[in-house]
Amino acid sequence: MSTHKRLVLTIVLAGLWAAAAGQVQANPADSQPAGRAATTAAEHPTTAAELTAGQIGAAAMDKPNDNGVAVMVTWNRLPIEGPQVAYEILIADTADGPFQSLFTKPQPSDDCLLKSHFPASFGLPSDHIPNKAFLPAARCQCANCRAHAFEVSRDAASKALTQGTTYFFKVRALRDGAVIGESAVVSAAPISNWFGWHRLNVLIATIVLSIIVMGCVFIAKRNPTKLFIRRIGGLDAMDEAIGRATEMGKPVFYCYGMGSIGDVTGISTMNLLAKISERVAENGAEMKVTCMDYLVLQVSQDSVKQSFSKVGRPDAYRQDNIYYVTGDAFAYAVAVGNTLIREKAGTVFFMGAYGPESLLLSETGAVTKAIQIAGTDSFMQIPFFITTCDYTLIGEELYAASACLSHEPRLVGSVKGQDAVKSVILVLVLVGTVLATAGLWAFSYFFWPLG
Amino acid sequence: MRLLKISLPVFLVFLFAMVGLACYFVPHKAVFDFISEAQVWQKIIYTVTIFMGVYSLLAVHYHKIKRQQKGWGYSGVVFFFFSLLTVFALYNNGAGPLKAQTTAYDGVRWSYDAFIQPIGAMVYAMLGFFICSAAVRTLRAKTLEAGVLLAAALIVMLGQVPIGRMLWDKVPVISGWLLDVPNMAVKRAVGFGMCVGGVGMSLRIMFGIERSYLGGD
Repeated sequence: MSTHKRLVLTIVLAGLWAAAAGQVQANPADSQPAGRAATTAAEHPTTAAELTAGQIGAAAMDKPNDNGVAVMVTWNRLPIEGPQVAYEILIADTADGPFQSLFTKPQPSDDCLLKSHFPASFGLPSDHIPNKAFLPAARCQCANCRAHAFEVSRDAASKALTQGTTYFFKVRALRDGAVIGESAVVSAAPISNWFGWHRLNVLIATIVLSIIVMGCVFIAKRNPTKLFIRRIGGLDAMDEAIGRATEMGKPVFYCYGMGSIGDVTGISTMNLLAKISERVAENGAEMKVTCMDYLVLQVSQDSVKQSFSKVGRPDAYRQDNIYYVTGDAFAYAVAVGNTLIREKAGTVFFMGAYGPESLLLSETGAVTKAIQIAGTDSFMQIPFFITTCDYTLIGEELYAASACLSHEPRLVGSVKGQDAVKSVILVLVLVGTVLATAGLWAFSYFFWPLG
Repeated sequence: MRLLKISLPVFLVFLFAMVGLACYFVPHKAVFDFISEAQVWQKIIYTVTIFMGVYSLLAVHYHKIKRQQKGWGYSGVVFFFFSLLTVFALYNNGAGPLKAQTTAYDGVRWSYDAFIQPIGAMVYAMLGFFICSAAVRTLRAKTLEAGVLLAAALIVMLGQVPIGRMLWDKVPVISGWLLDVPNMAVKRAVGFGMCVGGVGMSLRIMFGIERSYLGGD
């Protein structure tokens, strides 16, 4: 090469270098935005691109079934994955960048980040992913986890994503910290969804169950004489227990558990209180109600008052007999237990959700020789009540108690409807068991949470 | 009168039950905002009822003292500690009642540590003795069912302690099987019943079929 040509080449190279340096100086924010954890290709040594954008195959989508707070970034599981390989996800507000590092994940070994409540539909074992999210089957192509997914709910500055704003993403593959491939820019905007498709099976089941129960209610209304439901021992003994307390001149205690007005247990126990207080008023006995919740107290006072009025004994109603004790379970147990002993309870009803205080209460009640009838849906306390009480309403018997006591056709019909639903469930369980035993799991998928 | 006492509450129950049901299936942000707002209303209503609950508590104990009923001294203790805690809460470690509760160790926390927690622990400890007396009553093998229960209980108890394995290394295995298979089957059966019962109960309330809690039939 001649001296002249060398000089020209040197000038050209120097010019190119100066132009490149000038470009960097002119746009410093592009390479290192102030105050943000920017990561650009400059921070990672770049080797020859081993992977094309198509091989990485990144995609972004609005996270389905959410309230517009997240998007999902997915990309292919690459055959080169190993201990040295990691993925980096970058985010930007515009397609041109600057892209900032959002997350760098070491090669995920068997944790492919394919998340689902319904992993079996992707060919995965059910305990595959601890933190569950959603990935459509179309992205997965799963024979054995061929895709990765990452849920993005915050940007690089840890600020929550804005609904309706489009965000741009790139996925990089790194080996030993060096970039070996980069995806094309993909984008998605978080959007609020109007229907949670992952709960479609729950909706269908709810509609079917409701139709069965309400159908039985209508049938019962038309044919009120043809109804039969199993007798419940605890309810049959109720009149006898109240009568005994009346004869002995002792009060009837109705002790609420922890249930509040917002749950099924709480409402069931309040319904039952209304029926029991009617019987107590008819018998002319004294009724005492102990509450653990302020709202339950208010409703109970009104309910008992109306029950007494209904049977023509408004004068026998004493508001002070329905009172709040405490919200602390053990303090409640001690206070009510002492009251049972001091006031020599004739009959005690323990109704509602209970914790360990159930045994303290019912054992103390047993000491007073009172007839004790319990009803609870708290699994762990059922054995204690069965042990210490004369009669126990187990689980759903508590819910059905007021219906059974009223003998009102529509209420009884709804209980019959529940029995019909249980029969349907039993058949489904049996069919599912047979099919699963035969290795046919597809049937069971209809009953799993879908996302 | 019936409109206010029965019809309107039943309509409101139906309306809010349907909205609550819809909220479960609609993940839209508007629904989240509505639920947050409804929770604020709930808190306000609950706060009002706290005063009524406190009134009820104090009224009951006041009448006990006034009539000098049996055990009225305990009602005096209730008033004493209620007053003490009220003073501590209003004093608020010097910040006054109009400021948020201080994070410093104040009288309220002291009373919790010095009284409520130890007494609660003592009551919980008593539970062990209550379990023993209940177990003695239950495990009398008077019937076939009680005999089966006694045998199962013995195996499960032995399975939980080292001496069980020392006696026979299969005891923990049998114990585990009893808990995981028959026990779990029954638990699930009760669970199914409760879930379906819950649905039935909810429908009865939503459609106003069950309104005993309103004083209706």
